[in-house]
Amino acid sequence: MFFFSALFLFAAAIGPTSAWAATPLEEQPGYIDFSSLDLFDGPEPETTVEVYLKNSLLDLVAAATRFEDPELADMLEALYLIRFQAYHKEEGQDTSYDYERIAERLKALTLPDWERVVQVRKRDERMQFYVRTEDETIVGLLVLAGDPQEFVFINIVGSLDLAQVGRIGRKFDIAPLDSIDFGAGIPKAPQKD
Amino acid sequence: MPSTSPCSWTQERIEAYIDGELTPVEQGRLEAHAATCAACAAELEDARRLVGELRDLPALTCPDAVSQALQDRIYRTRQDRWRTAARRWYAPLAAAAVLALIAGYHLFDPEPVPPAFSPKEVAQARRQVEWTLAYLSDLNSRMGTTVRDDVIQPHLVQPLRLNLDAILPVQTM
Repeated sequence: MFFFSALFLFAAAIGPTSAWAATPLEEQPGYIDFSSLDLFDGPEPETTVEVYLKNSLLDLVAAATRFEDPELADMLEALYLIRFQAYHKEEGQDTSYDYERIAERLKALTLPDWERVVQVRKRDERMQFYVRTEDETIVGLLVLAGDPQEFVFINIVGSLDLAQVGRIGRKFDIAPLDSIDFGAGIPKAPQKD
Repeated sequence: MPSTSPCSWTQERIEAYIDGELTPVEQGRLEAHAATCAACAAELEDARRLVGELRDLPALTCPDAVSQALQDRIYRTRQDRWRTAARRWYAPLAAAAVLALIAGYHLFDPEPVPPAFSPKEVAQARRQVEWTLAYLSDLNSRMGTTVRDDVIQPHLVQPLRLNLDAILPVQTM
């Protein structure tokens, strides 16, 4: 009887500590807080697309797609966050961002933990892929893409396989950024397969 | 100070005297009185004899059955005491532990309780996931094409081909 009581009290004592052990999203190694980076000069341009999916919702999406697309479900279960932010500048609007300056600032802020794996510059287009690895596993992906009209940040936090991301992503079609409205009324993106 | 007769004072302390529990002053007073009082001297002698006789009694061995019965009774008495204590303390302790658990999870848990999402929100999130992955894949594909067309083809494949053409004889059919 004493043993069970002691066990019960022990469980009561360690309950809160086990909850404390859960790492908050902001402390995950792959997390980048765009808003704190102060990347834009002057007023921040208008966000045209913003996706911010945390693990609680990603787990539900994983459960919903488990039967139909088990590979996508597996990938989502290992993620803590998918964040996509796109800024669009209308013609004639004052330029409030400069890709090169932002890229340099981001590079300085993410080094030495992050590794820039790809950088592409083609005419006005710029793209950079950063990854953060721990124990040979990618735990964060950071993408920076831009042209004079559009600027995109993507941050995926969690354990992920880039080949898997590409493979799964190819199954879906995308619409142009400025036509996207993720409200309830939008038609589902048509699938290729 | 209450006045008592020397005889009654002495007789009240004879047992303590035999057991050696009197102070030296009390001991001297008792012995002095017994030396002058025949009645008290006789009482003292009786007490000494009784103690001596008790000490001279042979030691008896307790039968095993009696010892066992006595031990069982002691054990049962202890168990009864524990049960009583348990009834008195364990219920409040258990209640306190449950409260501590609930309070611990609600007050100190840094992760907020996951919000409930409607099926509509989950479906919308799924579209966002698919769209983001498709965007990434498209970006990756565009980068791959750029690297192939702008880097590998002009700076690696074409120079290599020119060099090979210069080195190797042209094969004519």
